[in-house]
Amino acid sequence: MTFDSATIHAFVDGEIDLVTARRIERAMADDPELAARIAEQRGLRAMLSNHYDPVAEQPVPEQLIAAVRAAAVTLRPKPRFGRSWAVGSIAAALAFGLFVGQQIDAPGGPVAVGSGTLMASGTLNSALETQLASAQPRQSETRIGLTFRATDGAVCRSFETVALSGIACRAEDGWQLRRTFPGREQATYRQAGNSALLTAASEMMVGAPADAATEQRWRQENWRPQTHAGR
Amino acid sequence: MAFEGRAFEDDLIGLIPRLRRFARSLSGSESDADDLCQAALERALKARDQWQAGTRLDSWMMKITRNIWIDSVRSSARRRTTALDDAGEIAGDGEQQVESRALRVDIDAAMDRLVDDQREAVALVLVEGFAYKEAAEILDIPMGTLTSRLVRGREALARDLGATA
Repeated sequence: MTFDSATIHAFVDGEIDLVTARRIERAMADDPELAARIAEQRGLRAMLSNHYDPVAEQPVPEQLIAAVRAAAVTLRPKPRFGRSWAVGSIAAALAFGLFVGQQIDAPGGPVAVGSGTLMASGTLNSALETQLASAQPRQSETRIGLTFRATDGAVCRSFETVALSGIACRAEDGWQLRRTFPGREQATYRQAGNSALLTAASEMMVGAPADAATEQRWRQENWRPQTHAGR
Repeated sequence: MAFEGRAFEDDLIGLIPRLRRFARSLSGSESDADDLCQAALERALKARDQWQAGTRLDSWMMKITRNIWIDSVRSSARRRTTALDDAGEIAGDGEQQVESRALRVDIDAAMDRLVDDQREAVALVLVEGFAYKEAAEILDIPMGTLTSRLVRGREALARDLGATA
């Protein structure tokens, strides 16, 4: 009795009916070649498991968990109130469009318009949400600059991406873009360096920029740390 | 609604170890695998409305991961790389360390030599342990097509690896 490869493999994979499985088992006893082919396929399964299973046993990288959590923040429905469009934000959006061009309306782009203001989204949002200035992943397209407390008490962070730079402040429903400038690969940015960004940050800032420990603590508090009286 | 949303995220996070393993077997490199996982998770969150509650989330995620990988291969934006460094990065317990580094690289190289169709069939059935029927559904192909890809893929692997097991 001969069995084709598909049948032998299905036997090894437990994908065969009971009657055929019994016939193969009986045939194996007198057919060393069949037995060897089955052993070879069992060995292959074992080799692949030994090789790949350790990957599933490794600790999951932070950044992958952060990607799920951060995206969930953007996807959560915005509050129903406060949707009226402020004239200022439309003007800002227009000015912004000059810099950012078509990047603004691409799905997954860095900016979304929500509750009357420009909000960070996509990779920009996840960088603002998770990235520490003290430990920036090399492959991240967003660089975080300063993290500081603004005059209104919000935590704000300066950032740079290829298409845009600016200052975003953490509001209840995400990161509001308070200041926007051209990105680091645009000519106007290269001429001016990032001095406009720094000037804007220093005008908004109360006290000194956060150090690494403070930055980390604020992140744990979802960037909305309690304000303490007298500070 | 908020509760369901949270549960969905938690389920996704729970699947990450298997997604990483699958992505690793498709892409052959640790860093490509994590980029691939991240892209798949982001796409899944955007498309969460398309997932039907009560169906298997793992199959759905594997399908997304596989589609992103195929897109990136076809756009030839990247090629599978079998980097020695990556192979060396797999941390193992005592038993794993017995396996020589050379052999590990051999498996990556042998997987690399398979055509894409065969590699994904092997990855789903032999690495991820999906039943034929589920694997065929993930790949959107008839069962007969899946089994013939599996036969060719595993015979090539067995030849290549010389059944050294």
